[in-house]
Amino acid sequence: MVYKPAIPQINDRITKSQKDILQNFQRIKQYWNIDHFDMTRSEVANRGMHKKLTLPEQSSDPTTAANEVAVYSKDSSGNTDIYWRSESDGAVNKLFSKDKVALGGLKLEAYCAFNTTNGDFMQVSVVDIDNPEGRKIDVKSINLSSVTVSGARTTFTINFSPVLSSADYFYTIDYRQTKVDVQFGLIKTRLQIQSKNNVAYASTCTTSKLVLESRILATNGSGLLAADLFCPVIYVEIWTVS
Amino acid sequence: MSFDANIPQPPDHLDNSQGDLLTNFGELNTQFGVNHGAFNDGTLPGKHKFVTLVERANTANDPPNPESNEVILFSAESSLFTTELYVKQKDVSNTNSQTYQLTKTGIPFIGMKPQAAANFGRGAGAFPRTIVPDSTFNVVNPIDSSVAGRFTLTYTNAIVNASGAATNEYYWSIQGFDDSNNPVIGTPRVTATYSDAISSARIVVDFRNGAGTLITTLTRANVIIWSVQ
Repeated sequence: MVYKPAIPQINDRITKSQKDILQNFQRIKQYWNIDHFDMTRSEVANRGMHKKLTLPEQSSDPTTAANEVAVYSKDSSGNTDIYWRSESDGAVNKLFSKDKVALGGLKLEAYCAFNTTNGDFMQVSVVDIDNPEGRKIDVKSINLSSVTVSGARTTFTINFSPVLSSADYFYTIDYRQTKVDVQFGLIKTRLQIQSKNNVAYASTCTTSKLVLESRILATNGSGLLAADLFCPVIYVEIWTVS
Repeated sequence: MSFDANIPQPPDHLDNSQGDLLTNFGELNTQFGVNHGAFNDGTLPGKHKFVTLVERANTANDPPNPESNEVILFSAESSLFTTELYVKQKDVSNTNSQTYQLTKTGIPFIGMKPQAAANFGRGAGAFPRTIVPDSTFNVVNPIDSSVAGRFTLTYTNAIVNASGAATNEYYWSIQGFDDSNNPVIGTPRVTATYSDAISSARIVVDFRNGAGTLITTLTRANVIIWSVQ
């Protein structure tokens, strides 16, 4: 079944054209239905709408006129990534980089907020105003399987799942302090959450994990102290170049 | 000639309709082929080549409100007079429609955007020294180090604010590692003036221990720069 855009010709008879016209309509229906709802769909309101967008890789960036943008895919180091181009043949930007959102140069590989007592991922509850019983939205983690707590709540191993492609990533560590100082023996001291610092870097930052510690901030201190004495939650983000 | 949806009519003779049908089939193929593999293109059967989204008015009726269980992706002019992507969908009540801006100046719009990042070691050799970073985004290679524990990251493109103007009012995340079993405190350089450490063109960062001394044995550092989007 081949679509023929140049039929019927002026000298064609209906006996010849009928078959061509029929095949054309059948081809239109077949191709149309790949990404669009069937033109004879019983839900009339859906006719003409998209079911999905299948975007095979383009060999070059499409052109755009004023007041229009283009969304498409192209190869990026072997991956098929989604791009968009600004109006008037403007800037080309990557939107998604191998299933992760590309934020203009970096992509978020992993994220979590966890409880410093037991490593449980934090869950956020959002109340649905129309539902008196409330509605919980579970905002736990992105691409992380678990956080292992050890060393009497001084050490936290953040386990990536799936593993990352490189250990040369960027990470942010944020925490909410409920106390400025904590008692350590006879003195009050301040604490800091940082990457675990008494082993080689290659043991702390790997493609499968990032290890954090809760360390005393003293002039010559080398001790660790339980993190939940001063901060209940730690937030971690892992980023790579997109 | 353009596509005519009203042919053929019952009294039309075939020799009348032939031209109309020919035109319609040609137009269907041409217009479908703008964003999709054409009907006579077997390499991309029915799939999209790319999606061109012409600006909508972004009013209550344009685009129309979506039904339940569907979203509408469209483009419209933003407050910065650029054409951006938007999505319109039902809110959690499934009654009212809400419109969200998805992109701003070409990248996903989340309120903050990363503007630079670098992952690097302390390097070797006499000071001042240059360091080849392990990974960077918008940071010039090499990174400069004037003294142990202090590093100057120069941006390839200046840090800009939400309006596109160069700015030194941005956010930073500075983490360091030195396998010393001691605290590693990363901060912008503590100097008398903010602009000495932080500018639209560069940032100077220090890594100090708990005693406030610059660390000489820093193994690895990573810095991320953010700004309001």
